[in-house]
Amino acid sequence: MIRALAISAWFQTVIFVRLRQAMFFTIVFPAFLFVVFGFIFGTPGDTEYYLFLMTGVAGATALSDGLFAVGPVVREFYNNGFIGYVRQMPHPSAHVGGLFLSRYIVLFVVVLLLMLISLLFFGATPTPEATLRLLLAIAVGFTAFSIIGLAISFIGDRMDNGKGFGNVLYFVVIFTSPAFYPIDLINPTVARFGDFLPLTPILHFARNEAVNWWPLIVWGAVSLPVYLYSLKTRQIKR
Amino acid sequence: MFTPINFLIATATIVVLMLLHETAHYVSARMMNLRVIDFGLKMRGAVPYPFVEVGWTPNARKRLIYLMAGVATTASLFSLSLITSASWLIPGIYLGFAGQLVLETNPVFSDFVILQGMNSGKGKSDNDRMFTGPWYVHFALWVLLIVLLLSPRFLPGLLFAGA
Repeated sequence: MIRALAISAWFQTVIFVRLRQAMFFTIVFPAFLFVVFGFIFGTPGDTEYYLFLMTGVAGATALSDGLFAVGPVVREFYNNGFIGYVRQMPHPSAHVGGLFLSRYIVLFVVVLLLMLISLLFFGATPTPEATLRLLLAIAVGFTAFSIIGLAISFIGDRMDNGKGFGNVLYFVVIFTSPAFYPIDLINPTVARFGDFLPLTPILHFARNEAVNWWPLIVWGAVSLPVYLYSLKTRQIKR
Repeated sequence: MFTPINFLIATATIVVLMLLHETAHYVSARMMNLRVIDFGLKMRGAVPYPFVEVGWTPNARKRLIYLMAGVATTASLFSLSLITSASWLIPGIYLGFAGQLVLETNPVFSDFVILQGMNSGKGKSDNDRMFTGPWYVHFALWVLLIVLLLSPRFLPGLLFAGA
């Protein structure tokens, strides 16, 4: 089982590395955002801002990966009939587990890259405790966002339905959460709205602030049954 | 520098620069006797934008001059205003120039991308050209330009210290 999981994770990582577009949006784009925002809005020596921004960029990457890198892939398994082959394999769950494991590895690489940029360009380094907290937040966040992404991907008969809704959700979450700027200082009303969305608790946890986990739990508790129900009842069209 | 009033001035500046950009394309096309098919305003959603459309020319030099005329105009105006320390280059107008230069040089849908597409021959789509080695060089230079133009540590810091 462990061997099957490792092989599947390796296989998924190789597929990811060969997808130039996926590599850009998962690895290069977060680094780009961090560098540009850091240089434009950061002040030399303001370590607190750079670490705030780093957790925000990492959280936004976990959100985007969770919404767009798991659900659509699993749906594609159903669309092209690959799920039939997976079910015939000795350890079917290892194949989906490998997909998740490979994404955790990629996200951890992204966090390490952001830490390197933070050190080289801005001279800001998180403590070991803050690093562990960020990695844990990203892992928990990615898992939760993946469940939401699975539910969204199976909305409607066609792939595009889920993508459209996923894009809207992604941008609403990004602009109402404290990912790139302290939204509660800029617009408290928008911040209150963002508190009900799934990224905010992850960011608060990563930044060692007071966390209200309920929104994330509710999003997960609603998304999982929706996904399972959609899987059973909906006819998928290519 | 990033105040609401400066953003308003920057938006107005970008509108003027976009008109100048397209005018430069039009003038260069006419000067080189390229066939101007159409020019004017088009709508992208609810946003109007100026455009110039010319006929295909097999002459690579003419293509280069025509496509680079727009960005060359913006860059020249910007450089001249910097060199002469123009009094009208207030933070809002500077922000407009910086924003327009960033837009005009982006690696996704700028005139540079069109030029690369024309020079890379048939059979290659935009997706084939994106995320390749040369594209990443363009992307890295573009990021450098953004940082130099917009970071208070660099050009804005030198021009508007304390603004």
